[in-house]
Amino acid sequence: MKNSKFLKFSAFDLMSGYSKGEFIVSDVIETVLEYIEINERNLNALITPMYEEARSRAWMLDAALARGEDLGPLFGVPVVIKDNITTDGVRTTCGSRMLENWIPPFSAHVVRCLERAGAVVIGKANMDEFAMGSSTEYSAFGPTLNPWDLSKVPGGSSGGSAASVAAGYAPIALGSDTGGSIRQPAAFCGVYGLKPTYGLVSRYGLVAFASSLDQIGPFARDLKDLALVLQIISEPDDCDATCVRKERPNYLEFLNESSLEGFKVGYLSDYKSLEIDEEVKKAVTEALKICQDAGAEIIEVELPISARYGLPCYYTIAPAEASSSLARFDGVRYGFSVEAEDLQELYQKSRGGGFGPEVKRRILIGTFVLSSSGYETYYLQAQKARQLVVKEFDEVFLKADVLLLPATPTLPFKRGEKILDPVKVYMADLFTIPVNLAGLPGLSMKVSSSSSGLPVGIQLVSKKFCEGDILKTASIIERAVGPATTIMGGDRK
Amino acid sequence: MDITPEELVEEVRRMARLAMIELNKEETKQIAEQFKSILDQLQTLRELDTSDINPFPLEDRDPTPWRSDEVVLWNRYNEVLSQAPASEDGYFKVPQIVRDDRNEE
Repeated sequence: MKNSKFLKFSAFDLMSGYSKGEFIVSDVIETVLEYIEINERNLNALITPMYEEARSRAWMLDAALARGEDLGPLFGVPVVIKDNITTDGVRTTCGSRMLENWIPPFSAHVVRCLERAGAVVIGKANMDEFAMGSSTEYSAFGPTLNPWDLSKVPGGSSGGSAASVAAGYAPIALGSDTGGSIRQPAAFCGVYGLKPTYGLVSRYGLVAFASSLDQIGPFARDLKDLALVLQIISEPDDCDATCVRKERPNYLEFLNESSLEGFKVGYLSDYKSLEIDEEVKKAVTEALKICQDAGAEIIEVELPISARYGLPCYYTIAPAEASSSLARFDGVRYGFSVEAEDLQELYQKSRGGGFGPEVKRRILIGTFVLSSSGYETYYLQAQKARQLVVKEFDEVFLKADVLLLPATPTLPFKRGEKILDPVKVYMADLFTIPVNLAGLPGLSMKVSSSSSGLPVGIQLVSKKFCEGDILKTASIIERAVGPATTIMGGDRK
Repeated sequence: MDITPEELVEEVRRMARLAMIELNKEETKQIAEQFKSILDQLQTLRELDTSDINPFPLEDRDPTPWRSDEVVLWNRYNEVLSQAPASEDGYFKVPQIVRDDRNEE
């Protein structure tokens, strides 16, 4: 394939090429689109590739380039957007039959930010239906495959975004993370994935799943790209009342530090009864060693409440909120609709036909924990447990600056392996869920490869609004292990 | 949780009615089977002593910020209506809700 080097370029590589006049936006976009067309037959990472839109946007940007206009900070960079983030005039399905033909009349705040910065949206990424899942197998549009090994899942729910970045469709993608949906697929696909602090990035235009937990965040193969995208999408926005208005630091500056002197990195000394893959443990140890060599003090921490009660707490609160958020899909104003005699039948038939099994299951669990028979025992108790998780992290962060944890307990699992056992698949989010419950930022990144050639990731967690501490630690680790790489179709074994 | 399989099926049917989701027999049976193992997992939360914990502290701590109340022009109502299965005179159209019983006698 001509110019396949573009597929491995970072956003900064592309922008440097444009400004030096080495190539133009259309060259890159044509290459990317041709590659996507071939690879989608295998990967199924995109629900809607945006061939026409991306081409005309590239021509427009090239015209601006030729006129010598000011180039934006993401000029001509292809990006992939998870399909629960609205794009004006381009269908946004949430991986559901419910929204199969829904064309939103507005773009999400984060999409507007990226487009203002000059990015080219090239496609809408596959996902578990309404972001409920950890394998992208619960998509109404078929599963996405892991680009490193097609027999494995890419993780989820932002599996299409993670697979797109790993496979070289784009150096950058956006996803959403309610219980690990950015960090877990990032670890499975060997790329960077950041869930920012709750309140840092506007969710305006993100189709809500569980609003006290949902956050939008970036995927990238290069830490500098990730920091840049975070800078761009974290612009304050009045349309999301939870989006804080304080000034954001310059995230790129945190990447320049070469030492972790005076910095405390916490780790879990004892996983107790938790079943953790040996290769994951090894990656954590390796990353800790890098931090220690860079001058960090390594300290033991314990998170017993998060470890034992994080999952049941989350699987009470998230479905409860989902049962409310998804009440808007009624077959009246948009989305899947079935003809009916009366209004009640219209609701029941449209929702029964439009939602897939996992979504129904969670809505019903959520309805139960909010009903009079479940409210006190389940919902209220989970809200209280959530406060204990918050308190536990508060105490840990009195001692440590960042935590270095596994991103996932296992390596990418086989397709079809866990789809039938919901409780088993929920375990995949063991280390990511407590971070959402406490509203903290978390980054997952690749540290090594397993004996079978699969990426092995770790997770860095910090205090609220201290993404800088995470980026600083990650950049020290990146310098030792190298940036994430693409796995192209032809390179696969 | 002490509950018979028949009671579980009945509970799932009740939830489906509350959530306005039509389920077929097969779905009801499958969800009822999984309901128990999911609820058993959620039950572990009862081990925690939460007697003096405020479940909703955010309500006192972080008041919702207000944005200024400004009129923004936006004129794409037709696009919005075109997403609906039925609309008439600029409104969403739904099946008849109130019937006039007098005519039916």
